[in-house]
Amino acid sequence: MLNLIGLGHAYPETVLDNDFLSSLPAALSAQEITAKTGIAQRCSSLSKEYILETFNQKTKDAKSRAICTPTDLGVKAAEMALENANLSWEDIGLIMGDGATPVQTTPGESQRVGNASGLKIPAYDVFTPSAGFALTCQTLRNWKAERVPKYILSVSSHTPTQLVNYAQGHERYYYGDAASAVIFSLTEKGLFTVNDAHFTCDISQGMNINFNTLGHATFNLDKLTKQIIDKTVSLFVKCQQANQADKPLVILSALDLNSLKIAADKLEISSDRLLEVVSLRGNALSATTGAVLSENAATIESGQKILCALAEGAVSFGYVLLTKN
Amino acid sequence: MYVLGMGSAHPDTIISNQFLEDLGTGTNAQWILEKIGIKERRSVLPLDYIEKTRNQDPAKAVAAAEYTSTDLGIKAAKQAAERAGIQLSEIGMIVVNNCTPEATIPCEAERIALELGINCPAYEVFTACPVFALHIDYLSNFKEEALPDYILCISTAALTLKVNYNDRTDGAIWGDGAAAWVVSGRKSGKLEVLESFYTADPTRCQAVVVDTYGYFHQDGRAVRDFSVRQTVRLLRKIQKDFEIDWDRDVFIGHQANKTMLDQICRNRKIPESNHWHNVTYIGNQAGASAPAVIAGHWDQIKTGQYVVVAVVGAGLSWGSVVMRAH
Repeated sequence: MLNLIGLGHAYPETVLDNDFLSSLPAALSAQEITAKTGIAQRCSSLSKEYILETFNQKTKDAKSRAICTPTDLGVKAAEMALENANLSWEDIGLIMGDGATPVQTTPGESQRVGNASGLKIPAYDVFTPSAGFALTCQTLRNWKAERVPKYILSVSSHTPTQLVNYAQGHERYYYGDAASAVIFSLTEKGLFTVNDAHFTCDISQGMNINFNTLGHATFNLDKLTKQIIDKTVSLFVKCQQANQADKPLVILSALDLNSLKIAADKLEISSDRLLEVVSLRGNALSATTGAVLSENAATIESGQKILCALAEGAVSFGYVLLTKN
Repeated sequence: MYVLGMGSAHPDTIISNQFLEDLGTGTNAQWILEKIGIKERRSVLPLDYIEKTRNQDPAKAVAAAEYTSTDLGIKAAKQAAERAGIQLSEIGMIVVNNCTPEATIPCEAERIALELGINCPAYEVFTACPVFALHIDYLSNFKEEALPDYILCISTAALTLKVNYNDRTDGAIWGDGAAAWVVSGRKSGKLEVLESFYTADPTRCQAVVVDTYGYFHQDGRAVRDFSVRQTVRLLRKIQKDFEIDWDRDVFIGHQANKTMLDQICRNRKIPESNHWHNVTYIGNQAGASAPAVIAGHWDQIKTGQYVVVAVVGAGLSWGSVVMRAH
């Protein structure tokens, strides 16, 4: 049985609220941004001064002038997870990483995080742009327990604001930077038990989002919104058909709070059952799910089910059903 | 677990040692050959682009390239599937390694799945150079029933896009290429996996770097010493655990440089005839290196032969795979 032993999250310090974004060229007003997205603020590894000075026209400059890197955030999240699990780096037998905005395309994010440990811990990246938490849970659930170490650290770290064009476009209203970390164990019980996990792809969706390694992140707003809403709804239904969880708390992938609410309405999920961080942190790609769990873990009651329907926007998606222990 | 088919793909442009000498960076063709044992390497970049620009702006190199790493990965995948005797539509999972991705979203695996028209889980499992060992070891972790019949593994990269051709050393090392291998836990095939191993020492991960916006760089001496030492250790253990006969069995190492591989073979008493390599004419193709060698020798694999892969590289990470040919 796969268990979540420790959880951690980290956000950079700069907060980009809607008043700030509305001051940028060709931007919507603060009220319009709120009405459009439901996001009040998002966290960024960039300074406001840098954004106002350059509008991040050259994403290469963002990398060199960022206040923190994805790895800095990943290490912070990992250390929080270790502390919460009452473990140390020496206990970790494997580090799996994922990051869509790396400062280096080699080595992998897992290895950069592992570097911070000062230890020779096996590390490699297992990366999907979308539904990374579902992929990791499905993968580990399907591993032979005798082949894997007692504790596995999974770190998801993304700084999409470093790829945003702040001079124009809608992407600047959505993205925020974050990292989350989960310590898993196949043999030891912990905070949560994974009851079910499913990950797959559907290429018929087409690609409505592009993170060019050397350029700006872009997405087709209408198509991506519809894709995410439709997919999270169908994932929720599929998970419930397989599991029939009784009044689960729900984590839905969302481009923003508004699309999350649309999906929730379609599923008749009341707002008191929704767990989200996007309204105050922005969209941090697949780091979001771990961050939501980490921020809310202490307040979730024992025995409560949590259903995660994840489709952050590429062609990959999945669901995870958890029980709080 | 079996490897049922393997394929490889390389771009057409050849960067010779003489071309590098003529760039006037202070290197010479003979020195390159003596130092690293490489005569030629393949590149996605046209020679006149390299000559004119020396690739001073890696961001512009992507637009100048004649192939993408996706193109190479697809070509290798098709050959692997054909040799495995399967249709692409039968592939149930794709895992990919690319240290020079043109985009992180979609990831390389998703791009390849889209191009090949395969609807299945597709994601990255990444460690750069020793990825053949990583992928086999990673897949060996799975319960048999959890994997589809056929898994497509691919490593692809275009490292020449990340080379500063004003630097006399790095330009001599890298070549571009892709390799693919079809694996099954249920269907038998040409190569049976007897053992796989992967590990890493991330405290040394900054010894081999590909900057997202810049170039490749490495601590050459430290990496060379590490590569020789770890490969020898891996082989020593394999020779202890298996009845390896280097007159019958073959060794494939990481294709970083031929003189390094020769040093390893002398240490382990592996005759040149049973040391398979392609670095001399292809260059270091990162994770595609070792599997591309096997793909290139696919028809020469003999029944009963042990095919021993010991690979090292970025991370720093290393691993091995012992296979027996059927």
